[in-house]
Amino acid sequence: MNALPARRAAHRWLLLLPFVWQVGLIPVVNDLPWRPFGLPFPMFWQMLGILVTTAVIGIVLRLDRRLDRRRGAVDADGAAAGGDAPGRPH
Amino acid sequence: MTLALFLAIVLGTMLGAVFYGQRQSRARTMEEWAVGGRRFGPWIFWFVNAGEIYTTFAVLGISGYAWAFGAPAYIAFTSVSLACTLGYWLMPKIWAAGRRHGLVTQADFFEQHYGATWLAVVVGVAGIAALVVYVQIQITALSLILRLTIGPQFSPLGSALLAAAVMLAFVYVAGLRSAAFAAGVKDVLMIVMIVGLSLSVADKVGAASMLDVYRMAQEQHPGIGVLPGLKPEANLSTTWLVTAALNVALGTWIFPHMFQLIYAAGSVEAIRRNAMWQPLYSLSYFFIVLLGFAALLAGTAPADGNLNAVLLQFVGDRYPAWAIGLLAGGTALLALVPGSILLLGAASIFGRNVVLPFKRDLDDRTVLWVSRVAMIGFAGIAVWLTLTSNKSLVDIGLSAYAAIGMLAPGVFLAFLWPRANAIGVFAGIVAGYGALLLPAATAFWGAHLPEWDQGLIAMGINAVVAVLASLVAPARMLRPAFAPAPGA
Repeated sequence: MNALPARRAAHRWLLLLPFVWQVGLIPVVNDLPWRPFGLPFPMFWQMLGILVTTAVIGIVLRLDRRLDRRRGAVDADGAAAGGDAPGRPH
Repeated sequence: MTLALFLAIVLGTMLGAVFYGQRQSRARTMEEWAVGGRRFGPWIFWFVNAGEIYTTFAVLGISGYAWAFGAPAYIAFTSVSLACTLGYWLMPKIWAAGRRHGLVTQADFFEQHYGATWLAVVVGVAGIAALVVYVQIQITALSLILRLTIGPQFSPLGSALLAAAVMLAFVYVAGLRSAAFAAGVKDVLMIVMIVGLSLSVADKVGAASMLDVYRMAQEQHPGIGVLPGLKPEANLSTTWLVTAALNVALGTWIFPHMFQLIYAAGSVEAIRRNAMWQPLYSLSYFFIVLLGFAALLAGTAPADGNLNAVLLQFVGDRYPAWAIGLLAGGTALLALVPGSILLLGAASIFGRNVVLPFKRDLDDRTVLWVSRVAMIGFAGIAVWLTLTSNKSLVDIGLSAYAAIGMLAPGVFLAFLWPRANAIGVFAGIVAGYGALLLPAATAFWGAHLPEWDQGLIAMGINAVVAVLASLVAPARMLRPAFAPAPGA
């Protein structure tokens, strides 16, 4: 049934994006002099990061739902919980 | 006027919550009391979740941080969305384990997964300790609110005791469901309040608009908008923000009350949708930081330079009495709701995972009773901590995250690495607490990595030791550490 678990969950690597945006790039964006809407740039960046996060999770959620429907199980995660989850971030 | 509004809001919400909780069901079992019968739909789950994230730490703490330091307050924007991103992956796993094995507390999870009751006792005690520190935040804030609004005649001890008593009363009358109702009221009230204050704040400080407040703050206080903020000597640099935000994100779901909240969800769908939408809520920190900056422009000077009092002081100085009454009532709920859920979490762990292993013959009702009595003790310890510390709510909060972070490797390894075992996890916890609490260790980090969040350092050491100790732990000392899931 789970012949290709790694490929099955590959889209979940997208969840690393918010970490890159909101933490990884902090040192890069901190000293940019541009002030969009008069806001300090690092603050503007963090607020934008929140929108990015919701968008990314939204995309992953859609893909997960499609996966769940295909497998006919509501708790696709339940099957993996307690076991290892190859191919997933963290 | 101030007092009347304050009482109307707090008492009205409490009555409504109790009525709502009673109507739903009476908590006769631990499962009903502590995890709401595992039936929480998306809305109720949303409000309890938000209730746990947006506490006085968020409103009074972050506005005070913005006032005192400036840019370091951005940690509020970073931590919620990263916690949700991680939670999208982690929460369904915890939920599924809870449902499959009938888990009620976080220590149950450790006991079930690692097959070691003794580890659950250790984890239970560690979890209670972190929760009590978190309760301390809420009592510190609530007693501050009582003194600022009702009157300075309240002694710190008197107001802290009163705050703890109200919190206990709240959680005794019903369980998690009542808290969910109060969380909903509190959220709506606080959003309305914060937005309302923000809309009129420009006038109060001679700015043309909200964005103009940000412009003025950056002009009059150069450096406020970028890290390390107004006080470089505080070491709140970009490195600090990176490490502290990661530590908060990794620790958020590890709090025992968050585990219980996850168990309470009715479906994976409720959890996932919540993880998607919850970050947007944290855009409201735009207003909280705005109010902190405005307070700075207005020259707000709270008594004793207390960061936590900045917002209340600013509103008291510049707004009519009804506004401070509403704000005080709203922020009091902001302390009461999470405070009662935290106490509920600590109490259920104590009954199930600390007392029960030593007295197996207790029935469910007796354990529930023991848990409820123990809450008084935990509230008392939190009151005592409140009186002995005068730190910023954000700093107390970060130490609570550091403390709970010691349980994080055990949770993550459970889902990522089948070889992790009880001895390894225990060794990691011991090493982590050593790195976090031993004076020699903290002095070492302070000298060599002054900008690093010490909680994250300790969590890293904990994880490395847990992996190494799991590898060398003699197999015969372990019961089967890893029970494969049925059907997996």
